[in-house]
Amino acid sequence: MKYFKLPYLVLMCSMMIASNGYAAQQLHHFKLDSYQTILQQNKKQPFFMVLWSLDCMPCMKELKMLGEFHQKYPQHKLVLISTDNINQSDEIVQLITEYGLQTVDQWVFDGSFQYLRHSIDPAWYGELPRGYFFKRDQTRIASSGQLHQNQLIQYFSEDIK
Amino acid sequence: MKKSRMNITKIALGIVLVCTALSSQASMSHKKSSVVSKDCADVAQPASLRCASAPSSVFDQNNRLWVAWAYAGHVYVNYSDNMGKTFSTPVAVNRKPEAISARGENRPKIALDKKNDIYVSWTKPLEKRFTGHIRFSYSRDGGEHFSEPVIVNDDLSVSGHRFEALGVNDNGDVYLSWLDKRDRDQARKKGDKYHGAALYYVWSDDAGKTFKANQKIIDHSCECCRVVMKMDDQLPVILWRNIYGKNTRDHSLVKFLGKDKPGNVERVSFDNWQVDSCPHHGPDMSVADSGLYHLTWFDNAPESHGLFYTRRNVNGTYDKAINFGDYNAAASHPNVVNIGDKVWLVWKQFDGKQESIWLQRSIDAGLSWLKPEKIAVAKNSDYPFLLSNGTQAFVQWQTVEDGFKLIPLSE
Repeated sequence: MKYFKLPYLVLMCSMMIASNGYAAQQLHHFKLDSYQTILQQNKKQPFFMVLWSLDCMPCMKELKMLGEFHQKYPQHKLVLISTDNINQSDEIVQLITEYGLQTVDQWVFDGSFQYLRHSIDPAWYGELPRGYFFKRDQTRIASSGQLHQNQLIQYFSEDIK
Repeated sequence: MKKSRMNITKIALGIVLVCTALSSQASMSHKKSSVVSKDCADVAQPASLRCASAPSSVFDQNNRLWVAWAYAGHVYVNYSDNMGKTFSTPVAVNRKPEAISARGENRPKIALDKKNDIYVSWTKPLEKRFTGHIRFSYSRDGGEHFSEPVIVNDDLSVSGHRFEALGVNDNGDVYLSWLDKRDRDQARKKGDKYHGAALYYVWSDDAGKTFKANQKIIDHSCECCRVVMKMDDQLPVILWRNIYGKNTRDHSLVKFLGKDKPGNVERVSFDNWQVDSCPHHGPDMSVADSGLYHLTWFDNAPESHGLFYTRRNVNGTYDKAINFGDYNAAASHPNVVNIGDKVWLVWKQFDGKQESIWLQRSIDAGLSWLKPEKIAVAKNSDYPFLLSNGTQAFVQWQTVEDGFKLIPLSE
């Protein structure tokens, strides 16, 4: 009986809406100035930014690794950027939720791939996954291909020292 | 007491219904977002090449340009008799709509034989990620009707059969080759490791009516780069990105020695790009009547990166590869075609403001090259593809601004 009390119902309602819309609302649209926004938002803290795509098989291994990493080290900041289209948002949200990454900072490309790629790194050719570890001073270490968790742990631990 | 319990139950049901409506609305409104340009966003409009994202084109024996492209769940074919200025009414190859891979490295293919019979293939992605079937259809009446599409991979499991290449010789022998993950799936079921995919092929000696059994050419190919097939003396030659060792992604070539007899796999590039990623960046090839092959590809190894060109000589030796394009302007997706000793290379660059198509020409079968020149610019575009009608070379280039373009190239 007590479960039918109004406050509980409002909470249930919020949870239902959240389960469907929360992650989608968190999927920011990555535009030409978004890279600078990410830098601004993460000033003075190390973070790992990964570009990935739904049609990139090694990216799934990378997301699995990041999901496990995030479970163990929720204090370490991750930023995920999907290079897919915004009309694939539902699929993106579903996938990142499967890997337990729904609470991580999420972006999806909104615009021409070439321009957005160039806004992040003219030297990146589009191969995926593409990772950037940003030190506290915002110097970055780029890597193409799947990263091992130990490498990521090392990046964060060296920067924290 | 009973009455008040009923009221609370009614209120609860009402709230749940409102919540459900709100919840589904959140999901629906999110689905509306799209990056497709405004005039192409409405899929209820008639199919048009202008709105196709990844077309392929080829000339027939009568200098007619044929194009295959995907739109709203159908592969369409139409033609132009005035070098791409106007096109015929498109004909749907598959009558029932289905998912079609039509983006970047993976797109519908079209080929014709000497009788101008038309052959079309595409990859149909399945629900599970990275899986698909290779679809095939033909037309014997000049593209007015197409046969019911068939699946040519004889492994029908929900596995990766994707990135097909299509080749047809003068006699109408049809060859398809693709990246296949059936062996990877089997290995993993046993708990074994398996790098990449495998390269498979199938062929038909009755112009696509029936196909022989699928055959494997090699294990451990790269998984997501286009495969290229061309004909040399009526037999296929296939070029693809392979995996050497654990993760070195260099290119390989196989030349068929008989209709159903692939020769030895030859290693073409030695750039040693070691990466566990999807390059999404396949090679290209042009076969001269002399038996000389012109080959081009992209690699991004620290010591050897950018665009490359080499020749495979008639005796099977390879020249030292040369580097071309501006690496700092993201030179990418090279294509090559030859007419006799004349050879054209095109590729795409991006300077931060514009996408551009660049051309480099050789008049001595690729021994030396003239200076590169920028031939076209756009804001948002597809990869460039070279084709020839036997006397002139053209670039196919689809741009968001202008749709399908056929750019004639000077000699």
